[in-house]
Amino acid sequence: MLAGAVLPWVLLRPNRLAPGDSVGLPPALLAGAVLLALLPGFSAWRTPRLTWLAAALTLWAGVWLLGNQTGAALAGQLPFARASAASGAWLYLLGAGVTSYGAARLAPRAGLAWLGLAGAAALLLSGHLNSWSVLVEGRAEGERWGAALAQHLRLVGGALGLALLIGAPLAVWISGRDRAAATVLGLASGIQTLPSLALLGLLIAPLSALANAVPALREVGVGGIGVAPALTAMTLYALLPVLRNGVASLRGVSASAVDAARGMGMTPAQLFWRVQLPLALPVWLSGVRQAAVLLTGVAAVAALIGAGGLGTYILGGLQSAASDLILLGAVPAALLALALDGGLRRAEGWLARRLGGPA
Amino acid sequence: MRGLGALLWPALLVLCLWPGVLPGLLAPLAGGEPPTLDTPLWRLTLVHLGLVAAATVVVVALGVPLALAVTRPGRDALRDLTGAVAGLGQTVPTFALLALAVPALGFGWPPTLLGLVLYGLTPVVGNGIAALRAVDPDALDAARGMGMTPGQTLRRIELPLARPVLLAGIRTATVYNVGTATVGAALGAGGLGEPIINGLSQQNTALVMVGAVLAALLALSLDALLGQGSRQRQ
Amino acid sequence: MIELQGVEKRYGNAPAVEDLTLTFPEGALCALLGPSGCGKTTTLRMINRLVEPSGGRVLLAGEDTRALRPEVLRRRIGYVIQHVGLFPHLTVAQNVATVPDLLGWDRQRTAARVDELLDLVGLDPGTYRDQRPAQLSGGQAQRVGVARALAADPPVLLMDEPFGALDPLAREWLQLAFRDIQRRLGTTVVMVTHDIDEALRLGDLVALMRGGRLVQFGSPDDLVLRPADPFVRQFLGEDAPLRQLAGQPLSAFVSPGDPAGLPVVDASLDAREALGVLLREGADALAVQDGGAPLGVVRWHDLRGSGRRP
Repeated sequence: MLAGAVLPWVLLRPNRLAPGDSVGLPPALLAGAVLLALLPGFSAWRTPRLTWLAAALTLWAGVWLLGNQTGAALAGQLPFARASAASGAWLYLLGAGVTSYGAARLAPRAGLAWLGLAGAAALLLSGHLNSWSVLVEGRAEGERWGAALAQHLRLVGGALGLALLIGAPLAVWISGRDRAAATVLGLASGIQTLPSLALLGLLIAPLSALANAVPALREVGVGGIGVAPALTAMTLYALLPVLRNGVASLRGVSASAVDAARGMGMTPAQLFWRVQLPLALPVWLSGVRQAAVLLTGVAAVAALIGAGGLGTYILGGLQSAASDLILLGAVPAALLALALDGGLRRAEGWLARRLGGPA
Repeated sequence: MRGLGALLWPALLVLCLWPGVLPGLLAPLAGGEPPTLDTPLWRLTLVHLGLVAAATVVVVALGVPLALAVTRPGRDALRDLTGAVAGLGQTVPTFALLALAVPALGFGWPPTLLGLVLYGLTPVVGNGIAALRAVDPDALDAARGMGMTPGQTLRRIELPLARPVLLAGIRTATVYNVGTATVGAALGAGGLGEPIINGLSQQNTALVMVGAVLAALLALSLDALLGQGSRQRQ
Repeated sequence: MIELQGVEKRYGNAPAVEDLTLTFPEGALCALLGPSGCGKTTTLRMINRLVEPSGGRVLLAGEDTRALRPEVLRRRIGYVIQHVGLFPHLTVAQNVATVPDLLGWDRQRTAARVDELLDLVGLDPGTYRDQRPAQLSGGQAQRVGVARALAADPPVLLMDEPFGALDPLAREWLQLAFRDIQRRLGTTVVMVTHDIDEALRLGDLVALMRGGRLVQFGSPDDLVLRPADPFVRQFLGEDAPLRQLAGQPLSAFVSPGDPAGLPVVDASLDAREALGVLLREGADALAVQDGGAPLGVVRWHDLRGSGRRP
């Protein structure tokens, strides 16, 4: 179990908190942090079964230290003062996060390693982190932030729904036709090659022309910028994983199973619904997962053409050089992508076990 | 035919970079007036290419040795972990990843390069591990049985067999990074994202289109050229 | 000559091979036979140190194998495995040339050797030299595997189920061809097999293993006619004497005699087939002809002895 060997290197940094005047950890806490940073590596070496516990502890302690130190730095300062995390804390948390992710993959039960995250969430809710500048901003934003998150989810959900609506029947149709499959998949992967920002930009002209030509469309919100080009571009992007995995999974259904089903007298429709689709579903779902993760990223970029979502905060933060605003958008977007990835992965595993396909 | 097809996109790219051509074509979008740029298009393109090339060099220099190191026998856990962590890199949204680097590294090239490298590592490490694992264990047993040292096995058997998939990973990383570098313009890294971002904030559709068309052509050109390169070497 | 002296292999506490002492004589084809998991493959792999013995010594031509670097040792020993393990990115010629390349032979010598070997295993060099492994049939691939193992003219050849993955026709053809090549070159061969017929037909000596220990080591006749214990008899099967006749040319059993009135068989039959004819015809002897020319007769008791080998 060399597992943790890479990771402690990342963690082996002294921690400093707060910008402007950088404040380091007091010596006692510094020693504690270094020890904690070494803990998962040591545990992976000596007691691999407990690595998840060490990783969770490290992650939780990192978050606690952040709250503790921002609070301490703000004590006796003016109300406008902000205490944010500096490079040491970021590296520490990044390392702890990666360690937890790795430990989760290797842990006897995948859920265990996320105990640290649950602990961190508890700290967040209990108000321990309230002095942290990002949360100060977040409280100020409040409802608007919630709306941005909702808009982000709407964009991802909408585009994914559209892509499935178009992609699923198309995948079924082309899976039995080699030439059509080659053409459609070639086209879809060509679209995927295009930079997301470029695709969003390219859609502005045709969509605004369309809105000008058909005023009815303008009424429902179609235009060169905003949600319409974002949804169009995102749907086009999501088509490739949906189509590719759809075709691959349908073609991957064992020929002998299909043969046996035919031999038992199933009609083509019965064959599809009872044999092909259930066997193909787990692999297909992994395409849907890839699409969902991809879309979370594209939706963040879509803020640039005014489609809203969490990208708005990233963009605003970049324009006003306010790192706290950037974090308010970037951290939730990243967590959302990870959560979608993790959740759909579990769904795949569950489906595969239920349906007896390849795990 | 295939060879010609691979040259189609680069040819279009060169045509669009010819002074006056692209802005002229897009003039109708801006009410007949060709969009004007502060930086010549070829310079933006070169900056963009430079970013992508620098990132690719770092990605190959880090990713290939990493994939090799974790696929040595007896390192299964480390290999799985590396694969998982490399996959994590691509799960985090591009824009978020780039922006997250800003508080630590400031604006401009450093955060963009970091983002490009982290992004590019996923396909290179992932493909590298998959390719090296796919090498026929019987061929490895035979090589060892015939008296090849581990180094000889690597050079003569593993690397040549893994090369096509590894090259495909490098190609994917490079093409992805053309896209990621576009977003990097929002962090002030320059490149072809610059006219897109400026155009969007000035509501100048023609300017947006200049950047978008060139970025798209650049991605398609690199994809076609690298694809051609790996086909010929097989 | 290969000598194993008190060789053993343990994985943790579990013994895979225990206290094995055996001598494979110069120029002999020795079969390591036994049920799966009996340690025969481990034994084979300890000879070229793909598996390091936990105890005991392995001597190759009187020299302790531990005195050499494993790579140097392996380059002196040919190695053939069931799944061939041809390198898919190299041509047939490059595959065969692997060990000569490792040994630093010059180009001309290697090229000449490659053609010679392809000829030897019955593949036309002009046709097959530049083909890729993917273009070959299973039998052709294994012939290339044998050629590759023989490339640097090793005095010793180790084979792990070399004919196991082939269809029966290709297997039989290749077994006989290989036997022929081995005789001509005088190579010492150790061959792992679980195929009893193969061991009895090809082996000069057969070592039967069970549970990591040697049960009996001797000629096929020894094992068939004088089994050391009930396990040997049971493993070889009660029909072992019959199976041993398989593949033995009938001509070896022919003696002079009067063919008048006897059922006629052709000399291309093997001894077991001739026995079948005897049973079917209810006769005591057969007249043997070679392409129509009378050769002699084969009698019931000639076949019963079974001990005669060509």
